[in-house]
Amino acid sequence: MAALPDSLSPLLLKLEAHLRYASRSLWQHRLRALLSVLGIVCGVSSFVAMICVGEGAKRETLAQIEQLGTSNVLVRAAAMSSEQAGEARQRGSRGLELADGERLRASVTSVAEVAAVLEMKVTTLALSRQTVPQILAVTPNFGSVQGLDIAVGRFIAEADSTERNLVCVLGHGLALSLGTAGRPGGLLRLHNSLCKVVGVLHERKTGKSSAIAARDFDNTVLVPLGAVGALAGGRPDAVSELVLRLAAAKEVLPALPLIRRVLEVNHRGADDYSIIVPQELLRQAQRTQATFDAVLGSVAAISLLVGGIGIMNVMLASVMERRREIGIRRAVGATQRHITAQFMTETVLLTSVGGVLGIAVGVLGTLMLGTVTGWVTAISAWALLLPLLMSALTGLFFGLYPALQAARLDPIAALRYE
Amino acid sequence: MAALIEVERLAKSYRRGAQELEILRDLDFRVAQGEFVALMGASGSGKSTLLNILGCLDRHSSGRYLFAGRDMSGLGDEALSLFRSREVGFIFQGFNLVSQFSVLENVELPFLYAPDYCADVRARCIDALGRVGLAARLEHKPSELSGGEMQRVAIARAIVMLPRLILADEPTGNLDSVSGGQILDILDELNRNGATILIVTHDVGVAARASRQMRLEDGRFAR
Repeated sequence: MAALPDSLSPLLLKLEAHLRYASRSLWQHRLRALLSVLGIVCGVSSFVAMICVGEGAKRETLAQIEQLGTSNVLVRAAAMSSEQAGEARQRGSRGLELADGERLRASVTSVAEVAAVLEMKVTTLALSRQTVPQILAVTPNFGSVQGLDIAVGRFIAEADSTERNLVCVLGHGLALSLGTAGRPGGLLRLHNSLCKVVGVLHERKTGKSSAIAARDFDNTVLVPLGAVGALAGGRPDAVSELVLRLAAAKEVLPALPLIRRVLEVNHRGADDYSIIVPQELLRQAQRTQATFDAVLGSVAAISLLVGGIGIMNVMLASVMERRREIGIRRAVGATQRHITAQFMTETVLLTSVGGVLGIAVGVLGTLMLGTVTGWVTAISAWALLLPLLMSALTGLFFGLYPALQAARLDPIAALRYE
Repeated sequence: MAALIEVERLAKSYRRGAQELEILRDLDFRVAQGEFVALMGASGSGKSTLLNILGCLDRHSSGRYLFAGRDMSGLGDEALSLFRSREVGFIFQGFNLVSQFSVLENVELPFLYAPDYCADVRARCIDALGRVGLAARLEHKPSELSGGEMQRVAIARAIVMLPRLILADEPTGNLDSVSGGQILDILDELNRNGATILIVTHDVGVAARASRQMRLEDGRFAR
């Protein structure tokens, strides 16, 4: 160990001695000390578990929303019953189609780009996969609008669409499971045609819950929208989703009324589409998170308050019991400040031990919860440090009154205490 | 010899409800550096109160108390505590050791409150314990010691900071004659080495070992 500076070492030695004496005093009544910190342990552990679970949910939600793109607006064809579809047709709506995108682009100046997606229901390849991949026919700009990165090969090109090339791009997970057929150059049977794999997407983490409407691109086959006719027939211009990319994220909200109006006119008031605004989802998620944070904060605060009162009670009893010791310390030179500091040290030590135990229990609980329920949890540094700090502060706050009581004792009366 | 303690018209009174209780009245006396003084008197005569005032554990109500020429009246808690830490060693009838601490830790206790905590604290404590013949009992708890041994630990704690004044309040009161004799021998030895000692006692035999006796009666010195 490096030598300490001369001025520092007596201070450290003294600090060490004070801590040693404080822990000795606590150890003397270890069962009582342990029982008294149970409240803190409960408070801190529930706090840690809640932060970790909440943080995991928050991260997952945010990641999904960000995947949708904060400067994007999604227009999706609504899933409708046959009655609803009939009503929409009666009104004269043709459903969501490429022309909607073109009109939106022409009418709303802040719409910079429009990508289109068609969810195809074709019988798929001979795959020994349990989950059936999603097949999406997309425009060539879909990759950039949706922020999809290519790991190997290339994305669908403009020429693929115009020349109706039977090519496809695979999601990372799907490509892996296909082995050599999943690499660029491989062939995939889609319906009655063979598609040539030209690229594989980067791995994209999406959680299990799909409340946010984010797609699982890991298990997807992307084909050119222009090649749909060649693949499966059907209306060439009908789409399931339009992704509008606006010039900037701040343009999204101001452009919404006009986007709504254009679609309303196009669809003649039929309610056969829905508009998803990732930015609004983000705000909603943030509001939900803020409520969740407030609730968990209150629960933790109440636990710590109850724990703190328990600690104060025990410390007050300890001061009464140790009056003689306080008198002895005063007789050998302790000031009122020293006595205050001594009892504060003991209380903070006690609550910090409670904090550490609480963190251990909380982390263990979080890991178990994650394993049992499959929830995404995130154990971050602040989820550990904040509760520790809070437990120490609880000690400072609730230890102050007993410590001042101890310091105010008359040394002579304290020495006479039997 | 220069006076270590000078007391002029010192008085101490307590208020109990509407009643004013006078414990010490108009005391005048001096104790020279290196003296061994026995303070005698009946129970309630004010001996212990005077000892506590001289050790700055208690404050006097009026008059003057000079220690080595310094007026101790009106000092605050910090200054009085520093005085107790540096200049005084207390020895009590009931030993007053902290039960959960070892012998060594009890003797180390005054260093926690001294401004000059240093690396050789342990060595100084062992030296003090050696002087009272307990160097071999460092890790024992007070409950594992006899009464005489506990009082020797208390003496080691009182002398470890090398104070100029040792105040002993009936130090042999709870001990058998053999242990009491050993304690008095140690006090004699400390006095020979220059410490000023004030001992409160009922016991004439104990008082006889002092160089001077003072007797309190109802808060005044007996003529």
